[in-house]
Amino acid sequence: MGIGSSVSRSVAPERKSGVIDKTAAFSIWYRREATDMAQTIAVAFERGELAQEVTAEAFARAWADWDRVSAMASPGGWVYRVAVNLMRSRLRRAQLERRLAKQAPAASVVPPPGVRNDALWDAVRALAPRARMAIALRYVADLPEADIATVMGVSRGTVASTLSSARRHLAQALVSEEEGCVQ
Amino acid sequence: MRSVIDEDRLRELRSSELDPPPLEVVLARGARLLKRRVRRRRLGVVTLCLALTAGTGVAIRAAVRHETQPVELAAPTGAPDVPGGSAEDCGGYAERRAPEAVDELRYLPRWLPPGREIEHAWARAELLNRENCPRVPVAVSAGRLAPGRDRIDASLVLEGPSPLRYRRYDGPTFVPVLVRGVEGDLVRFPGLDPAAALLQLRWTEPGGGSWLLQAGHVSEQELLAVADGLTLSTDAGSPPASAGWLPTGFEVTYQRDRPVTALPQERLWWHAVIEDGTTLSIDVRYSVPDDPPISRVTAGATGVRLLSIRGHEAVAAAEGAVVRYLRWEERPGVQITLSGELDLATLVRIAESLEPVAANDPRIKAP
Repeated sequence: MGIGSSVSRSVAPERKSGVIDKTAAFSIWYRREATDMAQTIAVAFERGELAQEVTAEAFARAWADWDRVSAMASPGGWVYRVAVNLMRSRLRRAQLERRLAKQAPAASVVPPPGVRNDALWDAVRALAPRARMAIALRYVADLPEADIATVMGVSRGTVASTLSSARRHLAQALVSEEEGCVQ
Repeated sequence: MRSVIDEDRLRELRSSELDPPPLEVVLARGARLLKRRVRRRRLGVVTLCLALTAGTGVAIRAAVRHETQPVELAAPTGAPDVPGGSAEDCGGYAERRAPEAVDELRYLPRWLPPGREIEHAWARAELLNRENCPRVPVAVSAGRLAPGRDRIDASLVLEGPSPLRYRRYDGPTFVPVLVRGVEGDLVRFPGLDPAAALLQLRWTEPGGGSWLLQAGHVSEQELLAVADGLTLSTDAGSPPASAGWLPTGFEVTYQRDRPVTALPQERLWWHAVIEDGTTLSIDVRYSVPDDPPISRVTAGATGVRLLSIRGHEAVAAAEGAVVRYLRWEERPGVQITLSGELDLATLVRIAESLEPVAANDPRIKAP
């Protein structure tokens, strides 16, 4: 199944004198989605500095293909998938460049701006990449499971179980953290 | 120790402090991308003309490939999902249930590719068929079968009747049309290959009941003619819909023989995940409604293989060498789907090795 369940995230273009104003529709959608996307990418990949660039590129691609993207049941799901793929490809390239530059150190990992709960951030960072991505798409981007499945290229069942397992790990990690604080 | 985390706490990961790039920057960048794409297309045409002049087939193939390959990294290739009715959100929960709850669904493979093992396998319950999101059955489907009758090259699916009207998005691809004497919508989902673009017709019959007809590889006129030729019935003992006229080469592949009267709100589901770099998942579910796999072959999809798995008719949707899913009906009302990035031969071998397992099988592990 493709992206389709988040109908509430569909694009509702405005009309000007009976003519659909494409730019207005896109800008409304962009304002609604872009902040969450930048933050989602920052949390999922631990690379705040690349999140804005990837967000810009993903939305630019959506604008370049707006007639098609706006007609999709979930343009939000589509643009997230583009962003995730862009990020993966940039990280692969960066890894290759580091290898070519004789193992220069990877960029340092810092919490994305605005995440003030260091314990939560540390626990999220400790998750496996797939689990972290699922958590970011669910709780930062607020995507339903069906869309997360499409963005991540896995089945909905896998999303459900990944989220469930990630929540359990986070709960355990945060409880340990709190217990540590009490002691 | 707490075993669940408060979901509100996870939403603390949200923030409005990471400003997105200014809109103007994104619009300008998108415009540049579009310009570059147009230039590349023109270049493709020039290359094609040169190749024709020189008479080299290699250059022709390269140019054509350039023209038809998606520019985007990740544009979904399948048809967008259409929610049943006018649902705001058809997503439902997937609660864990004990493995004992799914005695008829608990299958695991006897064989897996070397190095792969079951990461977890568990039962779940899924919420479905809610009031604002009814599951709409397939009434009729038709396909154009390849000469060997082992592949569907084009398909056409009629879903209905839905108790809710299909949502009308305010978008450029919705065109009001007259369908069967009532006002409906023609929706165009443009694809890279215009001939394969997905088309939908949505309308509500005067006596109630909404219908969705979708197809690829047909013209708008043909789709309207198919809708106009349908015989629809509200009689409890008759097929809800029968096809009349069909485009050349199409034949009926599925016909529901009587209307669906009641559907459960929840269904059980057995799910196994095999992880080793790429994910393979095995889903065994009650099919609700009981549409056989062939009836839901994605309209507009090409190259859907028809084959036999464990003595049952199965469909396999492929993208190149990779099969997106392999699905068949193991028993009436029970469907099994294998999905993962594997080749067909491997998936078939795994499928053939599936066997019912006891609830205390040591391979059963909670996620």
